[in-house]
Amino acid sequence: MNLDERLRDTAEEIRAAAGNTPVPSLDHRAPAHRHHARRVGVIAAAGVLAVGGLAMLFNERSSSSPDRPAATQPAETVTTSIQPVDDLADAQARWDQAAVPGYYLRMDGEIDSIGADVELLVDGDSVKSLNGSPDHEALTVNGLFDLLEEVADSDVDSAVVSFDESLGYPTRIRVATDSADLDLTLRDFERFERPQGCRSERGSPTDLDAEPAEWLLYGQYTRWSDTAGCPVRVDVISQYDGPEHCGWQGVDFLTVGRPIGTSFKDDENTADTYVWDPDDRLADVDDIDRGRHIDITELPPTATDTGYRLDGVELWLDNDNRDVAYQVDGSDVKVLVRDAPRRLLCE
Amino acid sequence: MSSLDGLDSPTDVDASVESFERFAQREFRPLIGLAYALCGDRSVAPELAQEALLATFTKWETVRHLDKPEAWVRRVLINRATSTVRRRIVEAGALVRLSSRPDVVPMSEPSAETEWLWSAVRSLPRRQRQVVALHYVERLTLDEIAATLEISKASANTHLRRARATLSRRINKEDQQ
Repeated sequence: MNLDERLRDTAEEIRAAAGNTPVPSLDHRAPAHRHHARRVGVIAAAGVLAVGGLAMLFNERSSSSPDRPAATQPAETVTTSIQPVDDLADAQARWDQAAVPGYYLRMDGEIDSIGADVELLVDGDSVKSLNGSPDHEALTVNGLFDLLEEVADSDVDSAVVSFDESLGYPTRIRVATDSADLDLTLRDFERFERPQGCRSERGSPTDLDAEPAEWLLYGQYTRWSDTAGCPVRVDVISQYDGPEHCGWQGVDFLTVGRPIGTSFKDDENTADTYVWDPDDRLADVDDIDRGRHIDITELPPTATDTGYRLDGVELWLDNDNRDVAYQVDGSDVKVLVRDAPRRLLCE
Repeated sequence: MSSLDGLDSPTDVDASVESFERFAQREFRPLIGLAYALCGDRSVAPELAQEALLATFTKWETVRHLDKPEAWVRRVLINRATSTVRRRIVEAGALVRLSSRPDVVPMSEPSAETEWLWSAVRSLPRRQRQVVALHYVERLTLDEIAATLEISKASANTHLRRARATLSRRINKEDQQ
């Protein structure tokens, strides 16, 4: 098939795909509303263009916008000092030099008159939304830098940008063109880095790259290892301290996938959670003894070593009795009691 | 009732001149195809089509009396799809809207062959990709392309010829690899 035929055929496919798109509602974007929004952040940048060509990016300085009555509008920041576009290059250089392997960010503001609340976890090439917001590359730091590069080389009405002094990522971006506006504030930025593990088979219990990144972001885990000393994924075995806000400090929660060695990240119902509570902080929940020690000679014969270790402590399970787990440390054995699913949930 | 009803011109419509509603209903989907050809993003394409129609609506009193209002709206769309800053903001807005408004539906997914070939088209110089999109997706003649882009017919022809030559070279190179 020659080029002309290929272009015709594929164009036909594009027309067909477009033809299946339903005609949407347009009434949420009435012109008056958009014109109002378009006023936000509009700063006379013509002078900037005339003087500096690309010098449209500059740091925020506090002053009142002449466009906006102070009594009815929140204080706007307007550039009073034009910094060269080197600000962008410097910021990007800082960002590149930092070589951040991953990060969490939260941004809010308006994109084209629509309220935006974005919460993303960027983990290498993976972008994941944590709040149902879009998980698009365009909303990552690299995507924002791409946007700013184009802003610097374009005919936008105005652009006000500030950058983090240390890592260089944008902390505030306001861009206005004659047809679209963007006003975003990056409020929370947190570096994210996966722990180093052993070279492991993909999907195996020690393949730390397969761990759910957001678990690592939110949770503080005590990490178990296998017999070779390789750290084990927290969605295979996770141990964590009880939250202080529930008064459960000192309580250990141990969750293991069932069968042991399998991940429970997709279905927590396939896991068992065991509790160790030597100080009886869960007395309000029930009167189960969760602080019992036994001697190794008292272990039931059906209990077996799982091969997982924590600072020399062995994890034993009993296939005939899923209600208990054992942490064997020499001759001393801690008996952890299984908790009913969700019963001990601390909100 | 479509909400496009609410966007009809505020003044009485001359019976001999098409209403904005009918115009928008007729042009929306073809504009999506053109937008996709130019920007390559299935979510952004309907947004660009809406943007172009919205801009048309605000000037409908003038535009509706033009010989070819459809050429005007295409020029608006082409300008917006070509401005990368505008497009990126529209794109980000589209993403936000898609997450909050289930009635904004992206275009269905074209085949890998289509995506690959039109990605190559989008890497052509600006005028060349515009001419290719108008010629193949919109099926416009050289005269109509010239009128839409406000260039000469000879210029449109030159852009189309150069675009085909470049694309042929790329395809041959790809086939050899």
